[in-house]
This record gives sequence, C-alpha cells and structure tokens, in this order.
Amino acid sequence: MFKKILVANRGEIAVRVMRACREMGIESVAVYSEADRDSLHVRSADEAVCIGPAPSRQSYLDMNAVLSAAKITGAQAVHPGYGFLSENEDFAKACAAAGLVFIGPKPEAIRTLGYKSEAKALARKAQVPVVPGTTGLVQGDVMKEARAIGLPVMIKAAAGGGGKGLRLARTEEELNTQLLTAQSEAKAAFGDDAVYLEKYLGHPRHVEIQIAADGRGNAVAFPERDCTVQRRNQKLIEESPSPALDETMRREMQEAAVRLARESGYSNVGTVEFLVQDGKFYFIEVNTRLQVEHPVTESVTGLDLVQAQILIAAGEKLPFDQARAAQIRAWSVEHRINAEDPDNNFAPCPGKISALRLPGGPGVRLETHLYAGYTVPSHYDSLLAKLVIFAPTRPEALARSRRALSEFEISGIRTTIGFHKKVLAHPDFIGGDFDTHLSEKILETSHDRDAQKRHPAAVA
Amino acid sequence: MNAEDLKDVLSWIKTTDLTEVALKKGEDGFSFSLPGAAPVIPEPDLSSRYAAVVSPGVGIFQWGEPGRAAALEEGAAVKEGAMLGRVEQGPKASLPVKAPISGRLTKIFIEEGKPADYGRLLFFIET
Repeated sequence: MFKKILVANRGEIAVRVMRACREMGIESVAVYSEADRDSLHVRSADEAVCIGPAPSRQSYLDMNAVLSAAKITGAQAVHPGYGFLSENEDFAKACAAAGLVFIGPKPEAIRTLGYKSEAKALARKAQVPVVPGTTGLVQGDVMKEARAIGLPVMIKAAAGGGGKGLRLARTEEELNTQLLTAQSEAKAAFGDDAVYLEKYLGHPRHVEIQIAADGRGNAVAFPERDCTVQRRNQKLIEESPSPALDETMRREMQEAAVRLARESGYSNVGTVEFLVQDGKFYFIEVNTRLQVEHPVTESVTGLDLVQAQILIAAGEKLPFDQARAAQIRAWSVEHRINAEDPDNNFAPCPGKISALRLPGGPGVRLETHLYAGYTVPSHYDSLLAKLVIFAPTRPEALARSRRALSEFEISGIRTTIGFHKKVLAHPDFIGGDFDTHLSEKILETSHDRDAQKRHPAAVA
Repeated sequence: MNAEDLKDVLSWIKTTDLTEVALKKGEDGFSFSLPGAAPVIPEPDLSSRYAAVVSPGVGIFQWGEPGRAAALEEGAAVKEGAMLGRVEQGPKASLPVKAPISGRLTKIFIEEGKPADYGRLLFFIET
C-alpha cells in the first residue's frame, strides 16, 4: 500500500480524498494555488505545496508543477479527483514516466473511453445500446446523415464535456449554423473541432451506473444514480435508486456497464452514463474518474468508493463482489450547492462567507471545504458543498432533504440553496415523474410568480 | 475603547509635540489629529532598495546550468536579467531564476538541491 498520496485537486473533493487517506493510514500532500492559500484542503493534508498562481493553467493544470510537487514530497501516487487532470491521458502517462502511480485507469482506457465517438464504437462492440447517430465523426454530407438519423439531432464535440460544443438542430434549416457554432465552441474549449451527430431525445432521464474494476478480471456495477435534475447539462440533484427504474431494467443496465468495463480492460472506479426514455436506455459516455456524485452511491450501499479506488491503484483485489456492490440499503439524494445566483441566470457569486450554519443530524452527510470567514475565489468551479441525504425510503429522504436545507445557512454570498427548496416543493419531483427539463420548468414558473409579485396590477 | 478613554488620550497628546495619533488593534482602531496641525508625510527612505527574488515554480533549486557556474555567494554583484539559478521540475523542465534588478546579492535563503514551493523567497538583492 502507498505511504503517501498527492491529491492533485482542490475544494471539497480534495478534502474527501484526504479523509480516505487518513482512514487508511496514508499520508496526504495538498497542492494549492496562491488563491487557495487559505483553503480547507491545505489544512486537511499532512503537507502542502504551493504550485503556482491563481489561474488553473499555471497551477492545478500545470503537469510539471504537480509532478514536481510529488517528487519533492516523496509521494508515491497521485489522486486527480475530478476535473483538472483527472481525464488527461498525457498526465497519466507523465505520472508513470515519473515513477508515480496515477490513481485512475490506464492511459489507453482514458483515451478510448474519454473520446466519445471511440467510446460509442466500443459500446456497440460490447452490445451496449447507444443513441442512434453517426458512426464516426461528421464529414461530407451532413444533411444526408441528419436525415438518416431523423431530426431533431444533437451535434456533439468528440472531445466534449460540461455542455461545451453541444448544439441542437431542430430543423434542416438550423443544421448548418448549429454545426458551425458547435465546431467553433469545440475548437475554443478543447482545441479540437471534431463533432458527431446523435438523435435528440425529447424527454429523457439521465441515469448512470457506477462501476469498479480491478484490472484482474473483477468488475462490478452499483445501483444506478438518477441525475435528471440538470440545468444546461450541469447536474444539480442526483438520487439513487432512480424512481424510474424497475429491477429488470436496473440489472440490464448494470450488466451492460460491466460488459463495457471488460471490453475496455478498465481498472479504477468509473461511471457509465445513459439516457433513459420510454423504458429504453441508451449509452452516452463514460467518465473515467471519481464522480462528483459518488457519495450518493456510498450512502446507498454503505461502501467507500475512494478507498476502493486507492486499493485498486495499489494493485489489490476489489474489496467487494457484484452481489455486495448492488445491494440497496437506503435511498439517497445529493444537492449540489453552488455559489451562483438563481435569480440572475445562475451567474457565479464568489466572495467572503460571513457566517455559516451547517446542517446535521440523522441521515445527513456534508461534503464541503467551507468555513466561516473563507473567501470563495473567482477562479474556479462554483461548487460550495454537496448535501447528501439518506433515509430508508424516498419520501423520508425528501422530508430529510427539506429539513437539512432549512438548517443550511450561508451568509455573505448568493447560493442555490433556495433553488433546491423549490425543486423539493415541485409536484413532478415529489411524484418522481420528470425529465431533464424539470429545472427549466421550475425556473420559468418561479420567475412568472416573482413577476406577478412585483407587478400585481398586470395580472388581471 | 470608549469616548472617556479617548478624552484621556487627547489630554495626554497636548502634553507632547505630537500632532497626529493613530492606533490599530486587530480590526479596531482610531486616528485623530489636533486642529490646525498640518498632516505629516514621512519622507521615503531612498538610500537603499531591496528586491526579493522568489521561486518561479515548484521544484528543486540548482545553481546555473550543469557543468557551468558555481554557487553565488552573498555580496556578489549581479546584473539585471542575469541567471541566478534554476528550479528543476523534471528531466526536461526547468525554470530560470533571474535577477530582477542589478545590485548586490545580500542574502541567500536557498541551498543547492533543496526543494522550493512557488513563491518561496530565494534571495535579496540590494541596489
């Protein structure tokens, strides 16, 4: 087992990984930018190294700086968290070249599974159903391809993620302009303008399967996570199990995910994402890293995914089998609390937290790097905290969510806590029958209501 | 501190040559000047100037290039832009440490082969 792990990340996920290290008796090293000098992850580690100025490119994304920090501290392995260098094939290779263990899959698996069109080809080979679309990158007669799939179609960046380079073409007239927009966005965000087409599903749910594989032939799938409550392809609420799945479909999805893991020779934890509509599921992509919402699965199964990930990287056997991994022991919901203003198009709201009251009590797990007096820097992701709830049943979990959100107070900056309360009050969410458009729907109705409050005379 | 205390301070000032007083304790503090007193702007001391040289990145500090240039010593004269050393990040990555101004190397805070964080103080140069 490793003696010392460098955590190449910041914020709540760095704190989460350091907690796992401490429980396993492993020392941890934090790296931080100048803007994060006062961040909690710096204090949560056994050692900390300043690796650069505030911009990510010159700190958390600077491979030489991260590797150099590992070298001077004598770390044996690097945990990349999520985002930053976590799905970077070159970084995984550079770790190996520097004699460090990258806590993640082999570089080849990052490449094949990370590049969406290659992942899709692999899924077809593993007999995992995919969304109908072009078999490769778009070149030649785009109109003909789009007609063959059937409009509307989604144009997607091959190297995409986070909603960048993603465009919907509803009609043939829209196709060319949307194609050009997607290509230029993809070029700007990923330095690669390759795109492909996919059939657009009008009312899908986003359901994903957590997997873990040890590269020794053991691969397991966990209960699904339903991440349907999204805004512009960014997840806001995740829950497990999904209110939309039955036992048969759950098993089919788990088996499909495991087939894909085996086909790609996967080792590490990972997530296979699907869209679900009208009782069918379609593979969309694989995330070859620890997911933001992994605590939902940990709450449902009672297992520790970060510790499993470290064990796998150290060459050990998966610590649980399929039957154990698939056990549903609770209902869990995660609320992502962001430093954003829901009344102003979710614009980021960094700043100083003047006062903080954290929720607690039964069935409440909080993953955060916040403390009173902390200044949320403007350079990074706006995630402040993940409020993870677990209870025996869904209604009890939702009641607990409401209770915990009412306890949660962050003063000094705008947050999305109020938005989560609105979702929990919405009949569609309570009923479990909703699709990925739910948050837009909630925002529209609440804006209408606010407008009515301001201009009561206008409502005749 | 309350108004009563301030009165005491004020009567004390009148027994001195002071025209202006400022006190700061943590976040709190006060400052006041006697009526009619001209604000006193201290003359900046320009007789010497120090420049701090910090590490441009995280890595191992080395003097000069391999096989060239030995360690500099305190008191050595350096020219603006001169290579003082480098911070090695790996087999193919090293960052130069350059003198921001010409002057004398008055203080050396790093040794050959020792690790440095980004922003760690390496030298003082006096002009």
